[in-house]
Amino acid sequence: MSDANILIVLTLPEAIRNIYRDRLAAAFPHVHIDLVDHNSKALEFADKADVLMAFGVMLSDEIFVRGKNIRWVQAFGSGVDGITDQPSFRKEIIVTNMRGVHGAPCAESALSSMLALARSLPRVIANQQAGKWERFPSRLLDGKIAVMLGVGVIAEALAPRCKAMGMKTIGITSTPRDIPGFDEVWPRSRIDESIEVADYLILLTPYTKENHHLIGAPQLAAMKDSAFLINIARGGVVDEQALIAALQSRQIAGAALDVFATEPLPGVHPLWTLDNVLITPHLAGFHDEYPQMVLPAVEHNLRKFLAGEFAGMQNIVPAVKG
Amino acid sequence: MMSVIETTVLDEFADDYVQRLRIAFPDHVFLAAHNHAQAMDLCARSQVLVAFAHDVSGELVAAMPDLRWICAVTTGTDHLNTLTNLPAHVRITSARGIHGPQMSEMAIFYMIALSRNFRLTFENQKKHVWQRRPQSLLLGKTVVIAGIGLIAEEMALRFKAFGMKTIGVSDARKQGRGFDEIMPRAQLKEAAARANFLIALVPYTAQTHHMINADVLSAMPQHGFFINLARGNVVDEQALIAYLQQGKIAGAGLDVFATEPLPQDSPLWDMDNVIVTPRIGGMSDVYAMQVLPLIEQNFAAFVAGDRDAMVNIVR
Repeated sequence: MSDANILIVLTLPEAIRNIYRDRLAAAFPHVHIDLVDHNSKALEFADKADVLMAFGVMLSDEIFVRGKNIRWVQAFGSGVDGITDQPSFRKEIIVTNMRGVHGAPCAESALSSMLALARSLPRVIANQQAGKWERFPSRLLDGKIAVMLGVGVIAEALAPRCKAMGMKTIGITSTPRDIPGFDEVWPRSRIDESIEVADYLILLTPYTKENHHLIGAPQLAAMKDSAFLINIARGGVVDEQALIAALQSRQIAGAALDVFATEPLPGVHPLWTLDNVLITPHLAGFHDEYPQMVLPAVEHNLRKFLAGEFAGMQNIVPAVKG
Repeated sequence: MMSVIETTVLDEFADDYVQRLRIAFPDHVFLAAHNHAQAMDLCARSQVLVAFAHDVSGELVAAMPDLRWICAVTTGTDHLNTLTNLPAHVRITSARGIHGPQMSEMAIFYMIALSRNFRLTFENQKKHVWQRRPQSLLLGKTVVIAGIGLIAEEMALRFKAFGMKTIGVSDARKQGRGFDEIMPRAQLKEAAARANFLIALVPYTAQTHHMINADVLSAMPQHGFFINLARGNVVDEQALIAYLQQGKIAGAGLDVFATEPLPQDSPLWDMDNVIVTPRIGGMSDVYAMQVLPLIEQNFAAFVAGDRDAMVNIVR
């Protein structure tokens, strides 16, 4: 097979969208590429698409309803929610993702959030804007305890950075093993204990049924009142209503949230206005070198797909049984 | 028989110090002064003064006829040299060596806050705006530190964990922990030209006055950020303001200034690409815990009459 129809859905600024299309078009002059910036605009191209490329969270079930010919979905992110969990997703569709490239960028985002919380970024900025010379001590990361729920690629990059900052690192996983950068790796049965000792509780778990509202009112109540919550996993991992209550009552010191139950976070949502919350719009893995980092793997997969060598594709996501 | 040593601790959090010192040295007297006026009231019979160097006034020195040791809880003690009535026999020690964590974390805070434009992120939050901007990474970037001492080494080791390239600028050192490369001060411009981040960390001396001048700033790439954690006059502030206003460098994180507190009419307050902090780089939430081991070690030597066994002796 020498040509194919590729549908790219990227809700990103135009200049960034175009990098993906232009590089693939240059490398594969015989394929046809449709590029749209929103899933609502993808429907007219979906029926003829052989290949769908997107971040899972940017898709809709409607695309799979219309996209009867889709045989391969390339996820640009590591998450495949929004793809494999759509009701009309067919199990025979090959799904590949970008597992592995998010380690360093997401680790930096997590640490950025931790430092911004520790150093009271909103207060620093407000003081500057008011021309106010107010000296106050910052909280150190040094000597504090970082607990990571989930010890995949991101945790493997984050833990050594936390260690370099002088922190103690604890990881929670269902498959405990020695992992570089971690002082201790605990089984999932000790999750409650880990939440109690955390100065920074960092959520890195994939979003599964089991992890839905993993952090709810009881977990938030168990946290120290000086502790911070960092969520760069998925919004559904946290019970947002319980979190809002815990933040308003200062049951925990603050939170940095990159992901939300509904994205974009609705303009009227109360989280925007809490003074102990930092909101970032799903940026953890989103950086200015991302296309350059992922496109080589995408090109490799497209080459294999066009040659019919499906087994040679990278990062094939195993089909969910059932 | 050992005589009783009386010590005045001048600090906003003096109680934290005094509590622990009384436990460590129950035979001696420790007085907690939370401000200069209280210190003036309490200090008349003290032989030891524990304080931030810049909080020690000539007036206070004059009120302490028995003064034998100033235990500065800061690294810099240059202010004490300006006290003309400070007797030559008074020992001065510094808190050199404890500030690595906070200075390093401050530097990284500046680097990420500037390169990720946290100010815009926070503005967007206030306006409830969901604007996804690709973030800039530290990974693979080059950081140049002018001045290599204990703090610079602690910083450099952290930067390496972020996958950065670390270049030091120093005439005194040929190598340092965490540094990929060290260049002599004569090559400061060449180093600056390679910097995604240029951090000033030199002590302030006649040689380092305006060390970061228009010439050095002009060598920096347009996407480069300047961070000053040293002293205000290490940089030519007027030149820096001009370079920032003209967009010739990307931004600056400034904790120290030519005049402190930073005057209200300084344009630095209002620049979008500048983060101003009021000289907080050395501060931390656990400062007393960090400095107390050093104070206790020196106090033990002082009480034993072994002044030469003290550490961090300035004079």
